[in-house]
Amino acid sequence: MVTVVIGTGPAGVSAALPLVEAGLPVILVDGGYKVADLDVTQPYEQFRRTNVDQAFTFIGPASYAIRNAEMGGLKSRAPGLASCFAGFQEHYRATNDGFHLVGSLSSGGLSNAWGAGVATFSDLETADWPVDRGELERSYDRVTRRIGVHGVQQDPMDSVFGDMPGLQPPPRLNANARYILENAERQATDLERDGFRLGRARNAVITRETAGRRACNLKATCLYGCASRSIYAARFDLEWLLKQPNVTYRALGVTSVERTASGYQVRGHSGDGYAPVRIEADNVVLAAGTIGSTALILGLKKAFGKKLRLLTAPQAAYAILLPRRLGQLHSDHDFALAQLSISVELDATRHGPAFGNLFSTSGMGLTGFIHRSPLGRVASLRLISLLSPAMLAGNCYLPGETSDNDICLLPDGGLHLSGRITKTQIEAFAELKRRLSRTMRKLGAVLVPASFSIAGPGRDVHYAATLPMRRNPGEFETNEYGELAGLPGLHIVDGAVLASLPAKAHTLTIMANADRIGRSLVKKCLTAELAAVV
Amino acid sequence: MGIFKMTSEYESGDRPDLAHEGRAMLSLFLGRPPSGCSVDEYIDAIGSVSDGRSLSLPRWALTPVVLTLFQGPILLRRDLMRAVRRRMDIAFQIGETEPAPSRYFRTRSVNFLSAALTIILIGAAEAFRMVCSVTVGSVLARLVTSRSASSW
Repeated sequence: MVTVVIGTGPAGVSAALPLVEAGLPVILVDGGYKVADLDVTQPYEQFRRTNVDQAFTFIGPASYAIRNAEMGGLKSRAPGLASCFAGFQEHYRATNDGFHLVGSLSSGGLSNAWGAGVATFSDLETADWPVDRGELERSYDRVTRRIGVHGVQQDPMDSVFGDMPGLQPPPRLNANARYILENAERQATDLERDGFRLGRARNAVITRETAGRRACNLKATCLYGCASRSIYAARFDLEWLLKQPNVTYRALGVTSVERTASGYQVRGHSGDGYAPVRIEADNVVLAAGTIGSTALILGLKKAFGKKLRLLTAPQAAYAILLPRRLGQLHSDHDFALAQLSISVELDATRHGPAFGNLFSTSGMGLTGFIHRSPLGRVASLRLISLLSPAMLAGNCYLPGETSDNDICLLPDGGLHLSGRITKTQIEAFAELKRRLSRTMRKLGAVLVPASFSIAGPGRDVHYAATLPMRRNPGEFETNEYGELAGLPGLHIVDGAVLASLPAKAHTLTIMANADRIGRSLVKKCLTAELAAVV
Repeated sequence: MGIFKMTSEYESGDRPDLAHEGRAMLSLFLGRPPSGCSVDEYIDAIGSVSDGRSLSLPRWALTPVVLTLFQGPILLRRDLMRAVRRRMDIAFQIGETEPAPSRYFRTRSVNFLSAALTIILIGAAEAFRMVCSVTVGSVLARLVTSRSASSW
């Protein structure tokens, strides 16, 4: 039985690996855009101080970073990550109403620009899911070991992140994060009483060498890519998959999936010259990302105009200043992804706590800060270059149930997304801001005035639950193996099938769920082959 | 009609003006003359986000001191002000890619008191700049606006 896997991001490779390891024939398909490893080997600060050709890295060809200045996060304007985001909106002919759409057609998908934060969903958070919890936990274990995760187990955030076997030691904290963590440890009981947890972050970044990947060497270039491959990206697993004899790969912009008498037909156009291509398969694993998979399913069911609810984790960003650290310099060696994580119980939402991370400002540069300063540009430059080493940047997310977005396929085949900032979100963020401000004061820091800003819908890129798994699935709902009614053998394995979306990072859960569904598909294929032989 | 679209090869006679503008904008942030590469980067950037023409500000306005006054409060005509600010942001971003020494990189740590004093001085200088913007700047802005009205 031939299985075609559409999408080679974290979900696609996680579902493909068990199939390939079982020796089953697999066709892997993605949009074909390639993201290379970062070619900067110097530490960020040193590189910026000394390299005369750094405009190539930070501005890029054809003024890429400047043309994308309005795009929001640093990653979306990092020239080295341009091909991660290229062509997605055009491919799906997406229009947006208040929704900032981010997607990828690249090999490895959005993991090429991943913040690498990982967490497991708790029993409570998956209570409504139709999945066998034991199966899901075994998949969490396998994925965690495969991608390599660092963190500490005995920590106030332990109950938020959940058990993860084989955690690697975390990288060294920078002085600001260490100062906050030490103060938080001294006041742990107080914080706990306030429903505020603070501890070490967990990231899919290796601190021990493994095959083909080097341990994190604290170069602080993480936001532009990683030269040592310490930050996990699905393209690393894809490289292994492509070496296997039972794997075929096609760079293909998939435009439709159709049901045939014997299975499925996947249509699209190849990257080279847009030649139409057709692939026939018995099974389809749909891992094109929540948006891509939903678009293909709406097209398959010819559900034009049908609006599906899209969950996102509403996001806000802020900065905190540690007055005691004023006057210091950035360290040459630092870790630019999340160093600390926080979890805050909020009265404004009953859907679970808010979740956030604190980052070193090393590796962020000054351009990102300048737009938030009320002063003139020159004074802002002087001020921020002085304050930045004494700051930590933070983000925080609300549970997906507080979001209000939808996705639909227009009669002309284009995709339309709309999103709104709700009253619940505004109230929850206002409460969060108050709580952060109060807690940070206790920890010897101040929330920088005017730094707290709510990002628009979609900017969090935590998209999920358009085709959720249910015990008794209705229309546009899936069973425990990501199958829609009437479409046996078509398994959706990405964020689209998550049945809930807590505020914490969801990629590890998408991968574990894809691994679980991939394994069930192996059993199904082997049983069918055995039956055919008998 | 007197309106000429700049070609992508920068064959237009506007390039020297744009280079002059870029040098002034970049010097504002770097605190020293920029490298030729940064000026070229500025010209390319303006070409990629707009029609690639200079702001047509008079030469005397393209000095860091006068540009400092034009950072605001709003003095210039609204559309011109928006264009000046956008170009300042572009220059800021390009300036950051020049290696040290520049205002972007501090090379020595200082103690808390020195840092606090520096913040106070930055605040005071900014207040003084804003007063100058409103008084001297408004006179200069009128001259700039009348001079550039026909071309902007």
